[in-house]
Amino acid sequence: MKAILFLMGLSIVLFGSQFSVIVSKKAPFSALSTQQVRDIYLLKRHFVGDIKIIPINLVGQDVSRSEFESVVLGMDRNRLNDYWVKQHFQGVTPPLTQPSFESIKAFVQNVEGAIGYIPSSMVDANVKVIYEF
Amino acid sequence: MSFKLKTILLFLGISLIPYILTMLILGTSYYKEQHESIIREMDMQLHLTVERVDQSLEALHKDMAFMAKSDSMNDIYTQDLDHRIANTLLAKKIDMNLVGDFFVSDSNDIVIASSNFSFIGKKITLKPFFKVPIYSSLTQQKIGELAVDYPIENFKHFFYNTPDRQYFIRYKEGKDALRLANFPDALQVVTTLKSNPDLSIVLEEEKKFAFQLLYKYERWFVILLIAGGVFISIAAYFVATFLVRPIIQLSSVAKKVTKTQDYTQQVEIHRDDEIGQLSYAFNSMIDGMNHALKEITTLNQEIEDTQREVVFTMGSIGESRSKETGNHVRRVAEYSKLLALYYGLDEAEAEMLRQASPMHDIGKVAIPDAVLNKPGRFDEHERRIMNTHAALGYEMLKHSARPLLLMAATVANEHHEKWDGSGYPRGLSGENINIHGRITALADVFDALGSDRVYKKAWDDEKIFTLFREERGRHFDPILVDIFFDHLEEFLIIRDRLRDHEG
Repeated sequence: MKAILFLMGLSIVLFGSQFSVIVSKKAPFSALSTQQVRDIYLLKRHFVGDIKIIPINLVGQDVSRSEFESVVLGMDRNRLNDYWVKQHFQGVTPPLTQPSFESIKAFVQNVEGAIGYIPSSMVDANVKVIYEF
Repeated sequence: MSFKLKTILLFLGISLIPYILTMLILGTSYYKEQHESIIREMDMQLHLTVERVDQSLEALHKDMAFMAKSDSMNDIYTQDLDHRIANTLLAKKIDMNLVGDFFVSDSNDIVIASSNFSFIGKKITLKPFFKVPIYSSLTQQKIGELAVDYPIENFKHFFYNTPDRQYFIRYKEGKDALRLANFPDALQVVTTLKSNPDLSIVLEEEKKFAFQLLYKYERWFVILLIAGGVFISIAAYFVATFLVRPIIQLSSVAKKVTKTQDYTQQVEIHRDDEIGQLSYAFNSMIDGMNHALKEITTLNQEIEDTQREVVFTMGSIGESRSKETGNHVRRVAEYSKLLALYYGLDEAEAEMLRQASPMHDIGKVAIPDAVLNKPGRFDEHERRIMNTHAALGYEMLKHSARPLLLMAATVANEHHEKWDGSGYPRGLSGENINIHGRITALADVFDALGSDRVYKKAWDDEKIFTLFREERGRHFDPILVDIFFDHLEEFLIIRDRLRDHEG
């Protein structure tokens, strides 16, 4: 386990950013700050400019998701759960999920304002990278 | 038509016809009511089934609307890459036991997801049973449609069919589906589905089955009707018999009275009503007739007695003139009757002969005493005078219209004729001589020979019998002589009974 983490850490160091936060190509903005991405995924911010933003999570406990949560949101699982429980009582439910990177990519491609994260290797011309981690 | 038959028909008319009419009216209204209630019952059953179907379809519709609202429908955007919608649809299909399939299509009618995976990516072609729009929970835009193809087979499990009763679907255009059997003679009720006005559900029942109970009642009704009719007929028969019985009794007594001529018979009917009065009147009438008849009989007897007395007396007059003893005519009368009976004449004729024969010598009243009472033998002249008494007797009696006197005339005329034709006055022979004359001749001679006369002494029996045997076929009819000897005892008894008294 330690070896894997080590390898992962190593790979980040070696290959730079591994995951890209993407939006539709038609999105009128090209970069978001960590704070902006964090607010979007905690459903504190709903719009960027005039565009309604729809954040998409990967379903389950994939490495990418925990990485995203710890790096971008700066919260571990327990804190995040507490946060969503609290939000739930105010009528806010966590962002949509998609079961695969492919579906996230397809969703983002098709829905204006959708925002999701996929491995940087899957990025192509159909989507626009606005953040990397 | 007899009175009894009329009475029976009258009873039948006033009881059977109203009975049958009442029964028929009751039966018909009951039949109608039952008929209606059977239809109503079928209607209710159908209604329940239709309600069930409607509820189920409504539930399906709601479920689809619910599914359409689920978040996973956003996968339409991703062309359902991960088959999340498809899996949901498949799970729903399996859960519902649905025969058809669900389809989620996008705005271009391309199937994005379906419970039948092989349809994914194709253009939707069939006409869906239900469809609900899908709105994205993100954009609130219509992003597709959820449709279900609900084949008619799905209705099967709502229908509980038996060999006599079936449910099936009828399309608006009149086409039938799921119809298992064709009943030749059936009742049908139809109700249209609320959730789909194009479809109606038909409940069909074979009449034989639907009206099973009714037919059974009908059979019992007919049996009851006939039994009632028979009972009424029998009752009518007995009542009529009871009513008519005294009348038949009256008529039978009347017939018996006519037949037996016994006027002492009475009708044994004791009642206080009109029939009783009639019988009383009838009895009094018969009584009256009996009295009248008795009187007539008595009178008649009186007349007959008188007549006999007169005839006898007339005979006696002749006898008395010739100083012969009075019992001669009596004996001749008895002998004559006896001979007549044995000869084969009937009782009435024999009795008449008994009464007529005493007058055989009535002609003697016209014979002068000198000749009549002359002792010793007659000379030729006297004999001729004497012999006229037969013809004289005939002359005296022949004018009468009475059969008795006419018979007496014949007897007087012919009692001196002889079988061989040597007698007088006319010299007849054999069967030409009247049988009455022949009988009286034999009786007269037999008695005359056995009695004293002024001109002779009585012969003894042997001598008489010898003479009779000799004269058989000469003086006397041979048959009568045979009869005489065959029944000699009886003649001798008569002679002994009516013996002349000396002096």
